[in-house]
Amino acid sequence: MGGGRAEEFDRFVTARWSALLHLARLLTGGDRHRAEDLLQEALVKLWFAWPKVAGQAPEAYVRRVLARAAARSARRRWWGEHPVERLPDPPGAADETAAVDERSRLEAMLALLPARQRAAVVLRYYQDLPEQQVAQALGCPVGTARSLTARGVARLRRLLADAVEPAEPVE
Amino acid sequence: MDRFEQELARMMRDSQEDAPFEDRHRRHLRAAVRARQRVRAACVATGSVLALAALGAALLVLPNVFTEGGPASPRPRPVTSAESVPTPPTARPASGAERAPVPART
Repeated sequence: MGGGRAEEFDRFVTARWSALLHLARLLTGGDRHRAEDLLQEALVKLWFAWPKVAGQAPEAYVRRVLARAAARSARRRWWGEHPVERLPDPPGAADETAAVDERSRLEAMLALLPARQRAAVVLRYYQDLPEQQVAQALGCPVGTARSLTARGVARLRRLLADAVEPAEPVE
Repeated sequence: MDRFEQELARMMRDSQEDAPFEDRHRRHLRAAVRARQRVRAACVATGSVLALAALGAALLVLPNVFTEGGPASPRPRPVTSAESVPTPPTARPASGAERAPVPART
């Protein structure tokens, strides 16, 4: 790595690392180590594509690489995701660790989604991308992206409802 | 966007932690880039060696082919044979002399 290219690249990564790591973390359902690995792989690809994409949209390029890599992997165990019977309790109003709890709860819910649904939901709601760009990032038709997002949100809605009001056991 | 979707978007945004790009990240990234460069260089070198080997083999074989006046494969056989093969007559002879004798009834 050398020259002005390296400096430019380093500046971009330093400026965007935190946001990109958060995106990777949401895409992996809260697996921090896997998120770092995923982001590093995406940034290595960015380095080789840098002369082409530096002047255009390097962040969009990284987002696309991250989303596709995350959506490709449906191997939950390899990703270190462990489905749980019950989601963590919702935070209390006066809880000092409310933010941490909320993050844990969100990540636990996201981890329960299939990888492609999770990627679609994260791109749509965290990145605030329109459906067309979600489809572009995932490399699928717009209808598929819309369906993935809708199913993902519906699942999250059910999970959240179950967490707030657990179903009564049938006797 | 309904209320739940807005809440979901807010949760995703608010859950972002401040995570600076540390030296260890930079070191790992540079090491990964160098490793990928080595792999790419090895692939290019392997490809070049294979191309040179193929070219060398072609250069060894081609002069022999040209000195023999073309490919060594057998020439295609003619469609019809040079020898005449007697064929049975397909049409009946016109003259009655050549007709086979008909046995007379007694």
